[in-house]
Amino acid sequence: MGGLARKATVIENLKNQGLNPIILDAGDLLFKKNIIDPGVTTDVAKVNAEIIIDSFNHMGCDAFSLGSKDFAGGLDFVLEQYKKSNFPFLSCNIVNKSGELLFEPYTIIKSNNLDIGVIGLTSNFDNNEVQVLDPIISLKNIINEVSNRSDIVILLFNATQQDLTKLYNFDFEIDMILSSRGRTRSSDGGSRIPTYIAGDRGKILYKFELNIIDEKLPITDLAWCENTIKRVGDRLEKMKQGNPDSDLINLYKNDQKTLSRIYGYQAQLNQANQSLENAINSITFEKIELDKLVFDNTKILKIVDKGKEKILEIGGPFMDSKGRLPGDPHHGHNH
Amino acid sequence: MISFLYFLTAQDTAEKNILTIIGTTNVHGEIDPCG
Repeated sequence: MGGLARKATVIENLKNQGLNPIILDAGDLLFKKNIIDPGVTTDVAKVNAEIIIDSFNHMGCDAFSLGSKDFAGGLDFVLEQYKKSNFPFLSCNIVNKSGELLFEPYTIIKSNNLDIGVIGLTSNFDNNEVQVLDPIISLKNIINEVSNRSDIVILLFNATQQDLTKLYNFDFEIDMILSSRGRTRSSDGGSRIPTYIAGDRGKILYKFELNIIDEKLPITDLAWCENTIKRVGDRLEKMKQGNPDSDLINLYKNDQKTLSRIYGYQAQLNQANQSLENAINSITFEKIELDKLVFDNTKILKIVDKGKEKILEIGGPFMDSKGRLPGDPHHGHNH
Repeated sequence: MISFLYFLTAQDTAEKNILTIIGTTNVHGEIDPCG
């Protein structure tokens, strides 16, 4: 499951429906690891990365924010790809050894009469060719400028969980975060700024729909509200010990610890219900699995096939441990 | 009349702007379908 050619089909279909999608990538796009074995393995990985850039050029991309793994082929390689790309490479906190930003810190995308500010950011990573400035300080330095120029602000963040938690405490004017580095596939955007990790290994796309009625108001994550109501509701029901008419406060009146939990759950339930009732702007999402039901875009397949020929020419990769050759779609992994 | 015109204007600004965003993360160099 997965693949550039299938992603291209999804995007093309959306465009044909008149939806004019904004296509974003939050990083760790080009390489599998932070460090690759030198020699043929690196050369093969670089050809793979070039295939991705060529494909993105064809299918369309509105912004790509670099993450730690994107530098695995070296800084020169990244800068070459940057020159070849027809879409923005973003980062507001990756700098060269002289402290100068290597890429644009943000871009403004116009869509449906709205100005969408998209910022690139990464948590720290070790690399001897670039420096990573503190992400929270870098964001503080830029957020007002972006916010003043935008109706909606989206952050693309190659983030550790620790940095995300720090960020939430700052009340930045950010409407949505697309996060990479984590491996979970988000089932909602959480209770703070809607934050999503859109899967990994390119097997799934997340299609978000933002309904904006008043851009000055926050965006309510409807999936979080609905999931919270279900999750907390189920917990409270379970505590009724089989009797749906139970009064929980009365049932546990002599158990302060459990009572305290119940009050906590009820507060969460109230918050979720109120958020749902008061929602003016909202975000919903749909996971699109890039499975066999999605056709392969033939132009992108040609780019991929050309790249595979180049990989064979440079002498790799060879058969994997199961004797599968390159070109076998399961080469190098099992399900 | 002025109230009526104001009402019409308010209705226009209350129309939804719908943005469709495709997000990907952590592609990790994967290019190929595998099933």
